[in-house]
Amino acid sequence: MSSLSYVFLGAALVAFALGTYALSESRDVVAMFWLAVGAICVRCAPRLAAAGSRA
Amino acid sequence: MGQAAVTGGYAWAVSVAPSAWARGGSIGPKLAAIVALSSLVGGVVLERLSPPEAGSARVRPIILWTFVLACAVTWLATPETLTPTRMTVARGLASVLGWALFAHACAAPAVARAPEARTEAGLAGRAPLSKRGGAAIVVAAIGALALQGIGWGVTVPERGVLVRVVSLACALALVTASASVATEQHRVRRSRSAKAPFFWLGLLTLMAVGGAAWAWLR
Repeated sequence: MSSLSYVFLGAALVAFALGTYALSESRDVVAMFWLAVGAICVRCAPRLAAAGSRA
Repeated sequence: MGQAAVTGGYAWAVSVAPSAWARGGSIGPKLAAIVALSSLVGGVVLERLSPPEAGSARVRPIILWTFVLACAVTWLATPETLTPTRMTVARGLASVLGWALFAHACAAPAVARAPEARTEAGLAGRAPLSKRGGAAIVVAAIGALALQGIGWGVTVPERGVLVRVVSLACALALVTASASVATEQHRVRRSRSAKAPFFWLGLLTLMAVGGAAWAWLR
């Protein structure tokens, strides 16, 4: 579970990059999708690390 | 003041001087840029000549604000030099980095050598940060900086500002999350139970399925 948190951090980085790029290309719906995915990944990562360290 | 002067000088060189001495510029922006740089140099000289107890520490905010306001006057007098068509990616990144370093040097206390750590008998020392945690923070910081390189070619000013704000928010979220993950093992645990974020994982799965379906159907 703790290793998964690092995977989620990496996924957040990729999702934020895709979202920002789509926003700069004026593809707003795609940008919102990737930014939302990144935000959820960022939200999950610390909680997964906490669950992993207390398991 | 010395650390703020070095970072401020760097920020001035990469973001203010090119605007002030742009082709076809008037004398006003050049004067404001010279005032900004002079205030930094004057602050350093003042600090060297008189100790902080003698009043140089009280003058520090005035010097820093003079520098910032003079830089702002330069930009306000030459708004055309800040448009995406005139601002290259490298200069934009260097400017962001320079002003972030200047803000840090102004807000944070001066970096000095840390005193020797005291060790108390019977107390457990602080656990060092794990290698994996440290690497995650470094990678997240590099990724956060790389995010600032996206969207400098946008020609619409409003869209360009939106991209900059969003990329900064993403970078902050990323660095904060990586620091939380890296330091989670050192947190004092009050309760033994910690649930996995099932709600967020479910929402993520739902979004992935929905996104894939949307991409397939369109």
